[in-house]
Amino acid sequence: MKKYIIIAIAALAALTACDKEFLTEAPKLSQSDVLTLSTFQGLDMSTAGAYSPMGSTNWYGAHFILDNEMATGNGKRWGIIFDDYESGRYTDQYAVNYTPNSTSPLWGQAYYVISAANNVLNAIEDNGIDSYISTSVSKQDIENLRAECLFLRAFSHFDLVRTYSMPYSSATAATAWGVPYIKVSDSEAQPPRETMENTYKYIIDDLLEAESVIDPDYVRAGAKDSRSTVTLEVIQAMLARVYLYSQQWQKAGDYADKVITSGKYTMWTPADLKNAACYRVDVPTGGEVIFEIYNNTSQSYGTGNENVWGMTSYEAYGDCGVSTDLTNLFEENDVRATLYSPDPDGNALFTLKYFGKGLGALDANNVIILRLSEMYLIRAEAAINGAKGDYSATSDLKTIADNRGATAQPATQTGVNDERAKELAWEAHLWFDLARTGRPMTRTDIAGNVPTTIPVGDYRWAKPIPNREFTVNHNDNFVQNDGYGE
Amino acid sequence: MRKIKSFFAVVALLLAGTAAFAQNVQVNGIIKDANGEAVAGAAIQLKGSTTTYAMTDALGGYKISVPSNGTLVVSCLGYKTAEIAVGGRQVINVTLETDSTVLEETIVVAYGTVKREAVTGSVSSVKGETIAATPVTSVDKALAGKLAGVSISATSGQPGAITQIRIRGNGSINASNAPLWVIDGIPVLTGDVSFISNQNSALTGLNPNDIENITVLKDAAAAAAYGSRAANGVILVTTKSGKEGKSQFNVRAKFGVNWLQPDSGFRMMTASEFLNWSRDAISNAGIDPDNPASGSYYRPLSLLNGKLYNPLHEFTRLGTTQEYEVSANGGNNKAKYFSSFSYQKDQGVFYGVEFQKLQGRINASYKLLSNLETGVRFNLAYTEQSDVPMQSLYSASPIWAGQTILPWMPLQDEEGNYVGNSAVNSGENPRATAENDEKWDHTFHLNGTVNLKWTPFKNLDIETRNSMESFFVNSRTWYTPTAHDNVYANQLDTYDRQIHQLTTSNTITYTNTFGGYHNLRALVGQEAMRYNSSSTEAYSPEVDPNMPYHNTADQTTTEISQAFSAETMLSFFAIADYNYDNRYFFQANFRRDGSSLFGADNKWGNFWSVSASWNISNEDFLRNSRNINLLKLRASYGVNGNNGISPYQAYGLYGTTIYNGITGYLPSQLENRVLSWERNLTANFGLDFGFFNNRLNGSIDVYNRRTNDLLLTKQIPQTSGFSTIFSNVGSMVNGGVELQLEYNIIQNSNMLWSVGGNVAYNKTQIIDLGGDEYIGTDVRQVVGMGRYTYYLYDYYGVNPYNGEALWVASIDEKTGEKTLTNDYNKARRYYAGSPEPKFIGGFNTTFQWKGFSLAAFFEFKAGHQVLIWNENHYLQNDGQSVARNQFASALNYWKQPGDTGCNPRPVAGNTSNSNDWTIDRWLENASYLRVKDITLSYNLPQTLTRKVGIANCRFYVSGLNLYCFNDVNFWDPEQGVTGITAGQYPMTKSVVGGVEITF
Repeated sequence: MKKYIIIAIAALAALTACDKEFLTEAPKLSQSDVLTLSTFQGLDMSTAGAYSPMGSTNWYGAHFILDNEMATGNGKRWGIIFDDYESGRYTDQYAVNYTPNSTSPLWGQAYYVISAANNVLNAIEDNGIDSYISTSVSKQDIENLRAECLFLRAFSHFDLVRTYSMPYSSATAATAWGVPYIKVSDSEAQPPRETMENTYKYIIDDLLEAESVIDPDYVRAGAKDSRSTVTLEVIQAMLARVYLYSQQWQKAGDYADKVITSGKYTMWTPADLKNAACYRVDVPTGGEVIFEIYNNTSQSYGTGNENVWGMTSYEAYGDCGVSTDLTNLFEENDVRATLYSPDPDGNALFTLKYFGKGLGALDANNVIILRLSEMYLIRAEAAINGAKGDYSATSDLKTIADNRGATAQPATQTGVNDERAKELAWEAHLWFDLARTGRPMTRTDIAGNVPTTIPVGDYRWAKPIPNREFTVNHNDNFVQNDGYGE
Repeated sequence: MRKIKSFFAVVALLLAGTAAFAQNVQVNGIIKDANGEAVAGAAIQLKGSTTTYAMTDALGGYKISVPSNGTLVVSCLGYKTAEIAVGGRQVINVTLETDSTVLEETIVVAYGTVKREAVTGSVSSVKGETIAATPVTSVDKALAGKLAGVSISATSGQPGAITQIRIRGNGSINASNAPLWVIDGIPVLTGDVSFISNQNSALTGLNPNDIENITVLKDAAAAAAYGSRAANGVILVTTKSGKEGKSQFNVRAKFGVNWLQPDSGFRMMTASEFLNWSRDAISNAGIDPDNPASGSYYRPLSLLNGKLYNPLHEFTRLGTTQEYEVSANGGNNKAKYFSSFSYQKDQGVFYGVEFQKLQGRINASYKLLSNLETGVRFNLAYTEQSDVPMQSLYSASPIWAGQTILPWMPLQDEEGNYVGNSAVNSGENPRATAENDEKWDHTFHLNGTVNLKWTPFKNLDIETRNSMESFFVNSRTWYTPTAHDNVYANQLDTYDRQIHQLTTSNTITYTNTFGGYHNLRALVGQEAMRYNSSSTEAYSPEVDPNMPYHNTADQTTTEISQAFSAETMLSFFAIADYNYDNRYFFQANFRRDGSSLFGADNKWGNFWSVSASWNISNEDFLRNSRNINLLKLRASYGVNGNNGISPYQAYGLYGTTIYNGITGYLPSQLENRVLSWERNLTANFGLDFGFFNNRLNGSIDVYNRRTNDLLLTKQIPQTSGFSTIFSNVGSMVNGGVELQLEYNIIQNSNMLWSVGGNVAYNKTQIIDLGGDEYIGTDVRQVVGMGRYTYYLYDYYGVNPYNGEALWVASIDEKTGEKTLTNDYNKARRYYAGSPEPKFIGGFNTTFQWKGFSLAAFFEFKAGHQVLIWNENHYLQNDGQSVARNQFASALNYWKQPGDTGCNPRPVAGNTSNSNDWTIDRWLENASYLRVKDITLSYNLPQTLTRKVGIANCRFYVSGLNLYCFNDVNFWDPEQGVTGITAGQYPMTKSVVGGVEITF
């Protein structure tokens, strides 16, 4: 009997010992995150994939551009007048009528990209950078991935804070609400909103670290469009913009200067710009584009008729048209006037910046995020506000005007504001420029019953955080913006 | 069962025996029962001897050599033992009296068998004969209405279709609600293994005639031994074993026909009815149906003058079923075997639907040593299932197209061939599909178990069972240009799929009786299971019709996709049974299961149960009662688990994404390291009784089954990157009462008349959904309600003044007054009904006289609704479209002011939404009573058959589903567990006749 008991116990022990392996069945066609992030190749593919959702219609594929353009004098819903362009889309955005139950879809999309970036950053941190180094993988290869992910994390938080917080003001930054800054994506966490000051600090910290670790010549291998990947100049251009938004004039001017003097980008000429030709190429070579979202019909995100192309084209939905408030700004010979054009019937005005690449029936357009003229404009604005360097506002504004067939604006804040309104229209700038420079939104050429002005300080400068978040995040410091109820 | 017992009786004798002694007379004779039927397998023993014995053969005959002054003891389980003095006679015929007290059989329970009186949990069992007596083709269908609390729902009348089995209601939302099937001690694969065909139940490989018995374990105590997968109950199937004795053969043949026939008066409009209806609808829209300029609204009366078709008639036929089977069993004291081989061919009522099956089984055992026995149970089935598109509203579906195609549309070309025609039915012709297309699954299903049982010393058994189950499915669809005058022509899709499940189950059992009163059984065991499936699909959108195979020369258009999944489980368990003097019974179970499906930190779960029963009838004060033969109280409580979810849901996953010319990875699912089992906590109280010399038998059970840790998608902050995570939150409860009764009204040697039945009441209530008030949109899970609740717009009826559809906009809470509106968008929405029956059950009666037997079996469900929204939306559409034929019930429409209780005034092309899907207008009371089976059979007198060496010869004719009492304006009230179907193969009615011969 004893013998049998011993055999039985031994057998049970053997079985229990191997149970962990026996009870582990990993999927084959999708990969577990642990496995994905355990190799350099997995990290690399996960970094490449993390860009992907930025092209979603919830972000640069449509909403981020259109929500902000339609809330200003740049946009007009011609559908109210011409039935063909009335699909009911972008009605609330045009009326700047957001509620916690119907708000910008950026929230989930941006935090999704943040989680994808965090997974890579946290894996490198947890496993140690050395664990990925091999004969074919250098430390710099891994640092480049870190730089990309740090950039994506900072970039996503920047769009979040621009959308869901009131405009930055150095006077109130220490107490005003920013957004939750997520460095470890955790399903159990109920994170608080950071202060505005901290949100900007973390964004800048991430960007500076990215700048310091990236190989200055790094361009992601295999990318079809090299302007849609993170490079040293992309990081620096982004730093220039973030410093501008947080009114750190000297740094803003210096970083814009670094990008301009890198010599990697050249100003578009009137010939490039005529009828938006330079906006509608599949893969840009030369020219102004520093960073853009690559878009094509074969992408996982951003395809379909609700893309920015479908919303701004008379050939598709066409709900999002252009107001004469914008076209009236252009002088007679300003080539930028050719970027806006009426439909074939001569009725409604549309932008040509997203008119498609002419590659297919259901077309798509790249969405430009950072380009050279913005750098000149940042440098000029910085100089006007006291930044010192080997540059001048007058000359920078002249560079813009000379390449557009326009008269140069005076080297004043108003001059910069006016030039930005013309140069960067329909690229998701005007709404935020009004906000950060403390000007009201005003518009005259409207259709239907929508507000013609949003005064400075109005609660609508910040969009509401989605209501569902408050049902699952009970942190005392996770609060809704003023003006949107509880 | 009886024969098994006699086998054990003989084994007992054998073990005790040494050698026979001489100077004897040769005695022979026949042993019969009170009905004059031969008793096979009875033991004839010389009194006082443990070595001189004989057994009756299949015809009840025996031969034995005994001293002429000896006494024969004739015994057989189920009969009273008889003693007869030999008295020098050479022929002794004996009639055995039925022993109702020992008719209490043993029944199969988890990892063993026990006497029925020792059962402490809630179980129901069916004998193999009962299953075999119903001439159905799949065992799950034979169970309908036979077991209290076991609901069997069919969604399709197709041969090979699956059934949805619910034991004591639905206990889960995202995990499985189906019970675990255990065949000969090994959990098997169930459900739908079809790829191309509409449905192919994994259980069709099991021949109902191979089954010895089925036990359904309903409460925690009964099922706990199967722990992690027992939450929805367990169905234990035991297949037949060989019997010691002369080889016996059984031959069966049957043939039947089946047809479509709704019993609620449901039908489609005739050609003239439809024409008049559509002309009214068109006129009501202000258009002249007699004006050729009206385009598709041009509907002159002359349409009736051309060739008219009845499309349903063109697409259907009289279905046939035929089945042939031979089985054999026999053995000696070392080896025993049972084997069967069968062939079945069903032709469905729809052209193109065919099901063929070849099936063979061998169950064999061999005693290697006096204390070591091995056995093999092997079943092999090959099915060929040809099919046509169904289960959707696709125009190639014969049931859908048969209901919709207009009668004047040509289905044939000039030569009379059925062809697809782009002008008719979107270019699809279901009859041409049936004749030309290919759409089939060929399935090999192997299931084999080898066991080894060692009894190292008395009272201790060590047994190992090792099993492999495999499916190989080879499938193909090929759409011919003849049948499809559209883009689907020349599409080819082929699949190869494999499923394998390996199981090992090892137990050590100790049984003993101490001091004559203390009976103990203790068991420990271990199990391990590995499941994996893989499939490859190749799809070509357009192949050469002359060579309809994937183009191997140019593969640019061939799309290949693959799928894999795998699952493992490891278990340890223990069972202890104790009873004192067969009066006080106790049982405890414990099981620990690990499953690969759950989170890394929470793979293991512990399950247990305790139960007790008191057999009052074995107490002294009742032991000799004539009227109270059985009275037993039972109580049990325990915890079972449910891991019926698809694999990999606990993993954090990455999927692929394409961006900027690079295929990258993106997180696609959040990890949940603590994802774990749903837990079912079941309490059960029961009473078993037998009165009046066991002529009235029955049991009552009351239960409460609470599911905790429901597997649900829980909402989380989107700052995590995701908005939901699959986790254990929420709970629901099922409570109910079950009653089972049998009564022998007449019971004598020539005649038996018995009635029986069961009824069960169950209520499901969701307690908590992890903070959400409800889940779902139209069919919801709502806190405080059942598993399924329809959330529908409140249709009021027709406005008697103008024939418009009216809706209830709101109801005043105080006065109950309804505010009506003719605007669909202002209609209120409310919780309108549920497809979960409150009552389910069945009843039967059997009348036997001499060799004749007439049995009738009825099944019912009550207190639930079905929602026929798919067909009604199109086929009772109030004129919205006049391009499809309509239900005949649509003829009852508003014609003049004052008309009420009818459909709205039909207006061609209207946009009133009166025919929308999600409206309570399509909700119907689904209660039904079905005449499931009426069988008349005749056993030839054995006096006659014995002369030609035949032990038994039975003829029968059965009517299946002959009539169903119901009010649902559709083919059949059974619409599956959700009460919603689309284009399903309706239930058919059938008549089957057959013959069975045993020799």
